[in-house]
Amino acid sequence: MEVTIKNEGEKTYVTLNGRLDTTNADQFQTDIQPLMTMPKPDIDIDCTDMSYTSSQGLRIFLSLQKSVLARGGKMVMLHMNPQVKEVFDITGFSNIIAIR
Amino acid sequence: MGSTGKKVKKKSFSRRLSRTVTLFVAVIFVAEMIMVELTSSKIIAEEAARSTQHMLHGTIGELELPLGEVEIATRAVSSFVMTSPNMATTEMIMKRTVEMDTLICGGSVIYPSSDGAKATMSYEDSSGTVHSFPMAGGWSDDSWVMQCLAYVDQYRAPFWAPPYMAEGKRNQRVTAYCYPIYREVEGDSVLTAVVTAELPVDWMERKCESLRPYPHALTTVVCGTSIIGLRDSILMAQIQEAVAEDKSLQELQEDMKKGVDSMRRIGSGSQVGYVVYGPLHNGWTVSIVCQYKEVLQRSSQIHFNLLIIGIIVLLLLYVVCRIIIHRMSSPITQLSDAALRMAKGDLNTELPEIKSGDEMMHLHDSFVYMQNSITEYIEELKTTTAANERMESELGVARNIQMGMLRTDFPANVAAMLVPAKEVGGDLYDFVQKDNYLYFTIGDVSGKGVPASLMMAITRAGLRFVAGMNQPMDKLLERVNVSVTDTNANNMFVTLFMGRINMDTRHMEFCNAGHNPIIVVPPAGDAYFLKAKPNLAIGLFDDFAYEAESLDLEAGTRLILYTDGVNEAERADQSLFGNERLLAWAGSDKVRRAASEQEVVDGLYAEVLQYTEGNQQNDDITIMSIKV
Repeated sequence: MEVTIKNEGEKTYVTLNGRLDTTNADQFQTDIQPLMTMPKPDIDIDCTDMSYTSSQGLRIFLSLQKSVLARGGKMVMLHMNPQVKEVFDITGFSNIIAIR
Repeated sequence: MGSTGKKVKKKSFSRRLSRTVTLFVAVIFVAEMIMVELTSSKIIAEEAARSTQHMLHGTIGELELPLGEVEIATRAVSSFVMTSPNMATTEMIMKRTVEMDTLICGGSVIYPSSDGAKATMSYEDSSGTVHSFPMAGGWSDDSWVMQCLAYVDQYRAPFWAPPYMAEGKRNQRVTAYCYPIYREVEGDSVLTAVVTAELPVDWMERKCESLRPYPHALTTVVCGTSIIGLRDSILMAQIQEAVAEDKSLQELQEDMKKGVDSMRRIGSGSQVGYVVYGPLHNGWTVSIVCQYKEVLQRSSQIHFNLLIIGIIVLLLLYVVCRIIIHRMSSPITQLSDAALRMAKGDLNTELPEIKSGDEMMHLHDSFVYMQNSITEYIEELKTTTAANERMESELGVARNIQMGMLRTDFPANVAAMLVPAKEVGGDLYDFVQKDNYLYFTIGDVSGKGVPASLMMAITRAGLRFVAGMNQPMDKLLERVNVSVTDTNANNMFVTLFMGRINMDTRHMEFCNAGHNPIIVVPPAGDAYFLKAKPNLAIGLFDDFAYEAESLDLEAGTRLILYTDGVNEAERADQSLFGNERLLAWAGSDKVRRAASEQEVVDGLYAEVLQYTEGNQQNDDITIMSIKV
């Protein structure tokens, strides 16, 4: 799982690439740590190249979402492939995380 | 072991290093020997020639002295002869001279006349007695008197005659200084007498022999065609032959005739040498011939000695090197033995004491460090292993407890199985029969292992609590959600499918909280995934409003519930079992004809195992089958 974080002015662009599974969930958690502390975040997460996410991955996205909302920011996940979107739909995460 | 030890010894470090050092020194030594040989032989040859030349000059001096003495004596006699024409007187004077002079062994005064010659002769015999007598007439041409007169005629001045056999009863070769006396008669000088004094050749020969720089060197005095000091007639002949053939020898001969004082290299092949030569005042030449072979023999001897010494030194060097290196490297051997003992498990083996302060000590210290580290590490490992064992046994207990939470007392229309990926898992299933209702649920906690199992226990407790309550499905689920969310600080969540079937009417109420859609297999018609409203998984938001739905089922319909361990079962190449394969299996005749729910459950598990081809199970697998 490759994570790229780019800050452009107020906005933060995150690009995910690869599988997010049990083996690398901890690393992913560490990688996105900067996003958990920035004040008033406005984050776009590009999921074009994310091929899979496990339930642990969902948990991390949820934590991020909660943290972002707590700081009065917003977070959107973009361009999910159908398989990943399905996981978000089934688990009901589509209801609580903004997906476009 | 013994043979191995021997092998190691054969290739010992000290032996190899000693051999290398010795070989290296030997090469240097040989190179040096060759260089010394090349340069020294030249220097020695030059030095030898120079010293021979010195010797030659000494020899010349020693020969000149007696020759001069004889000449003086002869001239003295001559002055008497000039003034005294009386033969008797001259005979007496000559006799006295022979008697008095230690060198002169004979002498004569020759008076030439038209009818031959007269002469007085004196000589010393072997006993030392001097004989003296007059001689007159009857000379043969080869007699000394005639030869002398011939020489006088030739030289017309005092001269030294070449060696000849002495007259009289003497078996002695002599050479003579001849002093001719002339008288002025009407403007012409007329020969009146010749005074001769004889010097024994053997005296000169002895001198020559005593003056040899090398045993086989040849010191000679060359007087015209005669050579004094060379008694070997065969060698004489060889020399003459060689002179006739060798141009350089002819040049040498010319030099000698001219009275040159010099040195020449002569000979060829193995017979090379040099000759030093210098003139005597009387026109004779003294020469010394030396062979290089002989000259260099001494240096060869020295070189041979050097070689022997060198070999002894090399052998000593080898032995000393071996001893020293063996002693210096013995810590390595000891350390390697210690390492072997350590490798065999004796971790507290004693290490050799090394306090040399060099690399050996460094190696030793490293060994000590390693020994300590390994000991510590093993201690740590023991502790860790013990802890792990304890944890494993605890996990085993936990597993038993968790498995104990799952009901296995299935009624005829229900069967389920749960296979955790680790000792404990986060999947769950449950069912409760109350009145004519069947409450059932299947769930999956995010993550695996102990955290998931705890969450699973909480969830199951919540479910048990609400099971059997006569309330709408959504309310039941909301209660479970609240109880789970309250105790969830870690953002973990549980996907859950919960249902309640009235077994009489086959009316099913259900609520899907983020779980995989269950499969409905009607008695006739295709199996399908049951579409449900997308409710959020439980444990996240305690105020989430769940929506329940309902469905009327035909008699004989089969419900197949599963967790994502089934449809996401992975092969080694990461390809998934997949929903399509799952649905195709559920709709297959195998399922439709299954005699029991257990058969359905076991069948699906077998299908998954067959698909994954032994690849490690990385998520909990739960399967439940219900027939209405």
